[in-house]
Amino acid sequence: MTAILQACGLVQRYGEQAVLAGLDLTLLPGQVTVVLGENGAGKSTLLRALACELALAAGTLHIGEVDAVQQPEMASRQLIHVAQHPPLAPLLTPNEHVAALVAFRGLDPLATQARLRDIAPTLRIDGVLDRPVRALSGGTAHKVALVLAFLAQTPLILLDEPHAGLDVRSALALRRLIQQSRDSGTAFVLASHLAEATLAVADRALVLAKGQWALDLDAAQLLDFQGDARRFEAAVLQAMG
Amino acid sequence: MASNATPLLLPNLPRGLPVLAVLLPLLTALFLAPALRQLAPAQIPDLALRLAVLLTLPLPLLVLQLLTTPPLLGTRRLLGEPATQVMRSSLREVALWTGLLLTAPLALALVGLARQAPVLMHVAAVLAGVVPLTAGLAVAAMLHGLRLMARGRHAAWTAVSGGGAFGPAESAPLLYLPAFALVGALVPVAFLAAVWNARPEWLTPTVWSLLPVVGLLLGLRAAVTGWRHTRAHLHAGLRAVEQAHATRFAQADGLAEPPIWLTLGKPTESQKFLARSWHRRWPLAGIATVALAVVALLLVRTDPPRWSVVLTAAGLTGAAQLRVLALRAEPAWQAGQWLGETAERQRAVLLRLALGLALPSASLTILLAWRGLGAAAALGQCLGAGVATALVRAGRSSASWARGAWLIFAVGLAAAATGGL
Repeated sequence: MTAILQACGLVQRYGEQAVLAGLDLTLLPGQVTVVLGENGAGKSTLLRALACELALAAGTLHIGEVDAVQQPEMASRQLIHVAQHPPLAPLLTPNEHVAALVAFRGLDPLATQARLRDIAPTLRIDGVLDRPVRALSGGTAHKVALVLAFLAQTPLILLDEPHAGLDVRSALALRRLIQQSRDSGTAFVLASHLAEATLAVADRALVLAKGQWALDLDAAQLLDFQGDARRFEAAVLQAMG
Repeated sequence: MASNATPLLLPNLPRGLPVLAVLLPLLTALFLAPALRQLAPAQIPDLALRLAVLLTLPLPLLVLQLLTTPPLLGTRRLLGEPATQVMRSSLREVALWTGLLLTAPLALALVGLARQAPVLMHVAAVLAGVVPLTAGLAVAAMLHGLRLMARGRHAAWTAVSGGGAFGPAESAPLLYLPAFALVGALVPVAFLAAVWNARPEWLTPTVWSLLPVVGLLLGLRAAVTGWRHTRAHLHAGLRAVEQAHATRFAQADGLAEPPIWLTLGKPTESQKFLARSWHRRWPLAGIATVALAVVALLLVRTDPPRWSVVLTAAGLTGAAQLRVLALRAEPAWQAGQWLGETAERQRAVLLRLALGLALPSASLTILLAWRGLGAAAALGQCLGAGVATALVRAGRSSASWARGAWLIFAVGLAAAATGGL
C-alpha cells in the first residue's frame, strides 16, 4: 500500500531547544494514528510541521507524491489540519465557510451539501449554520471546524485535541465520523491526551517525549489494552518518563 | 446579565441625555459666536473652513477608534461592575462625545451661514458628512450596550444593528430622533445667522450679551418639550431592541453583503469570502472614505490648494491601502488559506479589492488632473503609496495599526487644511 505521508528525520527547533529531534513517520491510507505526550512535548508542533505550516530545520516530508519541503502549498492541499484554535472567520457563517470550501477545493457543491446535511445533525450544528461564527460557543465553533474538515474530502486529516470542548454525545459522534472516514480510506493523525478515546479509534499510538518517539504501539498491541485504559495510561506514563 | 431586563434598564437611562445632547453644542455655539465676530471679516471664511476641517474630521475617526477597540464594556462587566451602571456610563459617554462632535459644526454654521456661498457650502458639506456619522456611532454604541447586556458578551456592530436593517420597526425612533434633535437645535442658529447676514446692525452688543441667556432658556424649554414628546418612543424603541436581542441565539435579520464598489462587479467566491468579512468588520469605512473624498474635493477650492491636494490624495491613497493591509490581518485571510484557497488566487483577490478601495482616491486624482493639478495629484498618490509600502516593509499590517495610521492621515489632512504644513 502506498503511504499517504512519509516523514524522515524531521527536526524543528525553538531557539536552542529541539522540539522534534529527527522524527520518522509513515502514514497509510485508512490508518488512525494517535500522538500522545505531555503538555509542551511537541504534538502541536508535529501536526503543524506535517501540515506544511512550519519551515523544517531538517528532514524530508512527502505527502502523497509531493515533496512538501519543496512545494508546501501543493502538498498542503492534500490534507486539512484542525488546530486547537482553528482559523475560522468570526464574522462569517458556517454555511459561508462551506461555500468557500467548495469553491477553493473544487468540490462538488451538491455532494458537499448532501454530506453536510448528514454530518451537521450528528454533531448538532445544523441549527447554527447561518449564524456568524463569532456568535457561537467555543465548543460549537470547534465542531464547525471539524465538520469542515470532514467535508474537505482530503486523504489526510490532522486533528489537534479534537475532543477538547466537546460534550459526551459530540465526542461519541466524532469517534463514529472518524471510523467511517477511516473505512473509506482517509488517514488521520490525532494529538490527544485521552487514553479511552485513543483506544477507541487508534490503529497506532505514538508517545512523543524529548523530541523522539518514546513508544510506538501498533494495532495488535493496542488490542491488548482494550478495556483496560488504566494499564494503557500506565504504559504511556512510563514511556514519557 | 440582564436578559428581559426592561424594567431594570430603562429607569436607569440618564435623564439629562437629550438635554445634554442639544444644550452643549448650542451653548458652545452661542458663546463662540461673539468671539468669532471680533475677528476681521476677511479672516472668518478661511478660519471657519480650517476649524471645520480641524475639529470635525479627526473627531469621528477618534470615536470610531474608541468604539471599535476591544470590548471595554465587556471587561467592566467581567470585573464585576453592575450591568446597569455600565450601561448608564456608556450612554453618558456617548452623549458627551455626541455633544462634543456637534459643537464644532454648529459653531461654524453660526458663522458660516452668515457669510457668502462658498463658506456656506463648506460648512454644509462638513455637517452633512459628520452628523450622520456621529448619529450612527451614537446609535450603534447604544445598541451595542443593549446587546452586551442581553447576551453578556461583545457583539459585532452588524449583529447589533441587524446587519443594515436596524432591527424591529419600533427601534426606528432611535435612529431618527437624534437627527430631529439636531435639526431642532440648528433652527435658532440658522435664524440668528440669517438675521446677522441681513441686518447685522440689529445685533448690538446688548443683544449679543442677552443671546446666551435667551438661547439657554429656549434650549432648555425645547429640550424638555422634546423629551416629553419623544420619551415614550425612545423607551419603546429601546425595549423592542432589547427584547429582540434577549434570546440566547439572537442574531441579525440578515448579514450584510459587501457593496458593489468593493468587489467591482460580480465577485468570485474568494472575493465574496474576504469582502464579506471585511465589510462586516468595517461597516462605516465606506461612508468615512466618501466623507474624506467630499472634504478633499472641497479643499480643492481653497487657496493655495496644492499642499492640501497633495496631502488629501496621500491620505486617501494611504487610507485605502492601509485598509487593504487591515484586510490581510483580517481572520478571513487565514480562514481562506485554511479552507484551501491558494496564495496566488488570494493575491489576485486582494488586488481587485484594493482597486475597489482605491476608487475614491482614483476619482479624486482624475478630477484634480482635469483641473490642471495633475502633478500634485500624482505626487500625492506616490506619497500615499510610499507610506503604505513602508508600513508593509516594517511589518506593520495589523488592523489597529491601520486604524491608527488612518487617524494620523486625517490629522495630517486637517493640519494641511489649516496651513500648518
